Amino acid sequence: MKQKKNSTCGTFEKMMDLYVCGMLTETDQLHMEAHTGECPACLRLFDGIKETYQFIDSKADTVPAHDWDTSWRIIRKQVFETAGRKIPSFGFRIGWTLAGAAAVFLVGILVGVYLINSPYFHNADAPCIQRGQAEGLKLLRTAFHRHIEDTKPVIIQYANYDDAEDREMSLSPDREIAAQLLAQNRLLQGKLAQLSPAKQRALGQLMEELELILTEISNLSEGEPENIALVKELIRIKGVLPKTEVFHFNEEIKNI
Amino acid sequence: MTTDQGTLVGLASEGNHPAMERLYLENKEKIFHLAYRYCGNSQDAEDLLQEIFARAFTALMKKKYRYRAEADFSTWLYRVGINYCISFLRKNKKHRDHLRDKFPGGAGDTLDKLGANGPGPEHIAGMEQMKQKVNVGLETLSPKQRMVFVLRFYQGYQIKDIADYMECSEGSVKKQLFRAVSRLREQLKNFKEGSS
Repeated sequence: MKQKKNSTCGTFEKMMDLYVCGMLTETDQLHMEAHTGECPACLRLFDGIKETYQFIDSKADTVPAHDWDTSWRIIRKQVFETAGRKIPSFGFRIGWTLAGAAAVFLVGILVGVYLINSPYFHNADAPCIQRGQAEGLKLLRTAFHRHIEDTKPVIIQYANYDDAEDREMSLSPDREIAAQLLAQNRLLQGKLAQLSPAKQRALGQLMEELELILTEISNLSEGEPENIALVKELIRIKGVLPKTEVFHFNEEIKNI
Repeated sequence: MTTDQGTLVGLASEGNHPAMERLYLENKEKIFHLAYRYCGNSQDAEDLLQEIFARAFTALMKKKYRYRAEADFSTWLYRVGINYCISFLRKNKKHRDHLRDKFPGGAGDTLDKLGANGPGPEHIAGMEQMKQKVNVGLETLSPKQRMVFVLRFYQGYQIKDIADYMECSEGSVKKQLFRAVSRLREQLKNFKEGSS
């Protein structure tokens, strides 16, 4: 009899992917091993996947021999034919474009020299520099806080998903919101480099987990409640909700 | 970058044949391995190898490669190779999809057999079956996912190195890798169910 797939088996498959990528935590590894003890179908799948990756790892599929000399002759011909080609007769236009670019560059240099010699840039402790840096960090902190606040309702909704009650809910508003939040998440991930290494680590992991979950939500399709259950399980496994709460009360992050 | 390699690069940028040939000999296997693992057949790998080196040497001669102490020529060449492989697959994907539909056993593997008198799919067993299974799975990945997969599992690079080669964040690499592995798992499952 074909074994009915349940949400635990679905979670197991995702864990297996994380295991293959080397991203599975020790706790999750124990859960995986426990599940293979209970579910023969998943155990078979796991053994099959392991066999495949052992094959890839063994490099049993060898790279064939190759005629290097012929390839070199072809490469040389291509390179020197390209080098010998005439430049098309756009010389006049290119000349004016280059002259214009050079003029802009020169003006930029002059402005730069003027600014560097101005009193503000001589003194790194100048009030306006310090004020500017402080303002920038404050804005960054606000942006992170706002982003977490925006994301929490979506995460809470899926963390509390109930198949009986929520089966009929439309997913398209969620997908749109998730896509927007995903873009916001990515933008903020690019700003992490402005923080200290310790803060980067703490926030960076949370942002990565949010990215994973938001990506899943933005890719959900109607009529597939099992995938919504998987998102719910992913939120639970990653412990994202408690982490977003800790984000607010963690003094280190609060005082970016 | 060693002084020797620095000298070779300098000479190659002036159009010196022997210097270029020496750089080619030092790096040919690494680039060919990458190309072969990525596209899955010798014919495309050969074309990729020639095109990658031709582009690299042309760029040298046009002074588009700037010597930097922290990134040697081999690393730069590898990056050129990675980017070219990805764009190659993107351009040729439609053609390969057509071939995959025509030869459902796996376009990558089948292309190698097109001119040969090898056995048909019914005689594939053991290792060949595994190779076919993996190739079919890899065909379903996007160009970037496929590159991340090849660099991680075939070339054996760590996430940090892959991020460096592909000039993106480690998070982005992890995401692509996770998606590639998930997709491959689904394909392997379908392959197994189809063959049984």
